[in-house]
Amino acid sequence: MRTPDFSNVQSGSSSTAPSESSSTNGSRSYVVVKGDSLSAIAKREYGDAKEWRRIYDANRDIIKDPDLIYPGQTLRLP
Amino acid sequence: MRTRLIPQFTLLAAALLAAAACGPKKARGANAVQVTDVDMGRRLTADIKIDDKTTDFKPADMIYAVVETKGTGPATLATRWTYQDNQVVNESSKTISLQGDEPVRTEFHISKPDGWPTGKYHLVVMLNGTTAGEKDFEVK
Repeated sequence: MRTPDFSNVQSGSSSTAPSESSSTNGSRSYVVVKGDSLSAIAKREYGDAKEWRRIYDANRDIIKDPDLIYPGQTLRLP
Repeated sequence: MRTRLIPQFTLLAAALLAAAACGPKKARGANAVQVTDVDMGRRLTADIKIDDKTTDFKPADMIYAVVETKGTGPATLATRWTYQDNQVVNESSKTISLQGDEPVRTEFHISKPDGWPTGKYHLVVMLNGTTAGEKDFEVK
């Protein structure tokens, strides 16, 4: 039996407490998975699908078209 | 024979007294940071709570673990995710600062773009290098 390859596993973390080891400005990260859309992420993260633009605006450098995001992309959640 | 037994007994009693004086290693201070809960699921709310607690996942799922802590002071939380016979899937850590009485929740998540292999997995949560919680979960 082949040993599974976990080298492409993506991970992240966030906390309700201030982070000591991170220099981020308090935003969280989210790794896109198959089937995701910005509105679906917004609904899940903020409870309102209309908030998708906040995510789009925070990730303009990596999202060219808000209708096209890809599994594996790491997005900042403001 | 008797003269040899007395010193041995004295040593044993002293050792027992010393052990009792040390006591359990918890409660170093009333506000020492401690892990109070570990939950797993597929979805996270905006205030970092598991929306659908489960230990059963599908290959395409993002897997979340939320660690709840209480206390005051800095703490390093770490997760070690393993598959079947202890094959390491991922290791992550995060140092946080707890400042109040409110419980603090810290989430760790993992995903695999080409899907998780089915089987049994194990999560170990460590607080400052010491195991503070464990969870078994399965991908079906």
